[in-house]
Amino acid sequence: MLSSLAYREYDLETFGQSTRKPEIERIPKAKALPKVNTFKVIAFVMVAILACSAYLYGRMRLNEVNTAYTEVMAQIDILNSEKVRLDMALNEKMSLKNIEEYAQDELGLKKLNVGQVHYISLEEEAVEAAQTDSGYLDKVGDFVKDMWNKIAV
Amino acid sequence: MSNLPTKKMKRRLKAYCAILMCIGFTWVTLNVGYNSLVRGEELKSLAVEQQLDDMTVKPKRGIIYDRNMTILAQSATVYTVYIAPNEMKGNMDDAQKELIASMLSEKLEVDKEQITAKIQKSDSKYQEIKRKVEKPVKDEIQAFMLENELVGVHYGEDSKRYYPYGNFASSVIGFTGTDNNGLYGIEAKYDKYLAGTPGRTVRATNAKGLDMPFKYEKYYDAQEGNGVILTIDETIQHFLESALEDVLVQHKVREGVAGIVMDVNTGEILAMATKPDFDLNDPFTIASEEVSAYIETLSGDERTTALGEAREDQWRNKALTERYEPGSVFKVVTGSAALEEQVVGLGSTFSCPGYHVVAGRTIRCHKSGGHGTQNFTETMVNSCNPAFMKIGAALGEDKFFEYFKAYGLTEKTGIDLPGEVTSLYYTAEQYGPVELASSSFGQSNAVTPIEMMTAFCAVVNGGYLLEPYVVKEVVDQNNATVFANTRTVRRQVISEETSELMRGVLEQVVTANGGSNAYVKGFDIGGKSGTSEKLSAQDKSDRISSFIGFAPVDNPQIAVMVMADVPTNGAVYGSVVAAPAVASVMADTLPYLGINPQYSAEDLEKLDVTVPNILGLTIGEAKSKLLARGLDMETVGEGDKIVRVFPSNGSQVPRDGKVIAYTTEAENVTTTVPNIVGMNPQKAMQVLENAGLNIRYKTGRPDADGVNVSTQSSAEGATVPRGTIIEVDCVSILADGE
Repeated sequence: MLSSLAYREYDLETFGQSTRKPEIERIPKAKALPKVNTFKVIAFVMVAILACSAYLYGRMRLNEVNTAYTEVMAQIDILNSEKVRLDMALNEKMSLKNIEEYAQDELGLKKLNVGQVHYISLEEEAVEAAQTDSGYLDKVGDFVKDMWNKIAV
Repeated sequence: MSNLPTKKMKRRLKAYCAILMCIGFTWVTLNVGYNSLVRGEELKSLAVEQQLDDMTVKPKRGIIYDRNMTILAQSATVYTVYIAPNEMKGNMDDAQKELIASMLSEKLEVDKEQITAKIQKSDSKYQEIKRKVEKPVKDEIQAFMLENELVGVHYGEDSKRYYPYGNFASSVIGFTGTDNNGLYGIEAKYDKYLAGTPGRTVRATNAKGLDMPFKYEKYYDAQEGNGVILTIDETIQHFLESALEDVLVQHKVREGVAGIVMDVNTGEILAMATKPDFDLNDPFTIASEEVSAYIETLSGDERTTALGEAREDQWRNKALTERYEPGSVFKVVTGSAALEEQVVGLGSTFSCPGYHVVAGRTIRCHKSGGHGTQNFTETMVNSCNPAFMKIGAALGEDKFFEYFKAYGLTEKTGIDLPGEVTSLYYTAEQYGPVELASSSFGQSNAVTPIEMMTAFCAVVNGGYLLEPYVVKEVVDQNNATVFANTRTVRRQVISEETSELMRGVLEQVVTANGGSNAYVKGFDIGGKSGTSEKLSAQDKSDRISSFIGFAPVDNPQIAVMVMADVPTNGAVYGSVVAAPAVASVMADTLPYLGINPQYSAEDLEKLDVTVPNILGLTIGEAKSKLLARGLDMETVGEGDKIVRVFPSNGSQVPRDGKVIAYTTEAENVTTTVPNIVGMNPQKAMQVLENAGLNIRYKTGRPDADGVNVSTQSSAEGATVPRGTIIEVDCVSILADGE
């Protein structure tokens, strides 16, 4: 029976036995594909989407708030202006001329006569300072001061 | 065999990628270079035009205040209503357009046909309907459009000037035009301060035209207009305007009345008014019904011209845009110059036979029999023309003109209001004896009221000719002062000693002969009246009546001038027409300024007394109590004790007056008011006493000569309770020179 070792039966010298050694070419091992953690990928993508969304949402809200602010400021200007107009209308009613006319025509009042005003000349000052009630401690302090002044004298 | 790419393959791949990238990169670079270097400017301008919004920000016009910060003029936002017919064209039918036209016509008070015609211009995107529409009206229009789902009506922001007090100080404040620029008065003179500086807003906008905030924004803030604070006092202005209105109506003054109140020591104008005047909120409407009705009868160019003239006429500030012959008021200039040059003294005497002959011409005195011999003070009190012709002659032409010029009567006063004119006068070379004579008593030369007032103030304030001014200060939004006017002395004309002498003389003008119509109880007032011929008038009987007064005499604070141009109700003398108005302004203004009356013993005796409490007393006790106060009593009823009194307890009643004491509860006993206008005060008192009424003299000196009652507070025929006090004004009807 031939064996796998049949080459041993041949007289290799007849074939001109090569002295070369067989080249051994190492074929690199195919790298195993890294195992993909699906969960992490999804999580990363979600985070990225969230971050972008948050940024966009922030800018959008900023836009909205700014627009609202501008509108409110414009409204304030309008209302201020309306206030001016109404103040002017009120002042018109409250002019000295209108007040005098109303007092005379509607209320039957008369202008003050010079003789109705009495002027009083004061020799002393017209102002007197009000005396405030002093507390217990103030009284004790005043007593001590008086005593000290007497001793000092 | 391996199925992985070989090195060669990889090298080839890299090479191809590199080539592609180079091509791409080169292409991009070339494009960028082309667009930025070659087409850069063009694209930049396109981008700016598309993306940037450039808006002008209109500044708010500054506020005008009186000296106490009362607002006299302020701006507020209003709207321009306009339609976009092109917008209506495709979106609305005729019925809807008709509806809009009707609504706008009703709300805006615009002719409906005009609106309809504008709607028909279907290619137009802007057709103005009305400007200066207020917010409530705009809101109504807006609500109507929304409710009916209509389009095509839009609103632009605009500004409107409000003057809350209408015609108050109208000739001083002035008004603005449709573009909010000052056209008259302070609004015009101080327009550069009031107008402010427009701002700009540059913003980035997206495709929809909405703002992109925080991107390319640049704000150039509008500078709001500055506030202008006047020297005018609202209260004093009111006093002056009331007095001028009374003169205008009572004396039917044809060409108008002017008045000025000035601080004698600083030149500040506390009040200035011209009557008739106009509403500052509607300056283009003719206030006079008569003139307006006349203009309505005209048409075409004639109407346009008449309307323009009528408007100019009503806008004028008579105090500085018109000249007048000052008449005897000018004698203060002649007299003070003569005293200063010592060509006359207080003790100098002058004879008046009733006329004076100058270069063969006879010029008569107003008193036909003449004043006889009089001293300097008496010549001023009598306002004697012959005496002043002699004083003028003593001064000489050169010196007279020198003082005429020194008192500022040949130049503008420099007041900070537009439209001031200079006087018309004889130059030094033109003076001859006749010109000097007539000029000495205030005829021939025509000056403006403000010039005469400034000269008068110089006579009484120590001799200092001041520059009058109306604006005290200009302030910015933070109330910091931008600009301020202060007392400016142009020159000293006479010495303080001469000024003091003149003050004493002018006091005598008011108090002599029992007091003139400028007298006010308790106050020392000096002054001079004038009645002059109006040389420019066609009717030679036209007169100008004026009076200038100052107070207090020993320490002058204010001067008041009233000038009535052609009174037509009979009285023409300045002492009758203008002096009572000056007295009225003084009586109100002096206490307002804290100058209290100082009554003489004689005045104190004539002051009102208070009705004491006599309720519950017997008739005898009540009578004694009233008698002690100088009051008389009339009893009504059969009871023993007093149950009611009229005038009531505590009220003020003239001394020597009567109190009605009721002893039973009954209605007031009434009486009919008689007519006492035109009577002398003593007769008027008697007539009222007979009617069971009391009399109170409001103005004037009832004990002076030639005084009559000019007004009574209750009209003739009115039914009033017995004991009612009837207030009367007394006016001297004697001419005091002129």
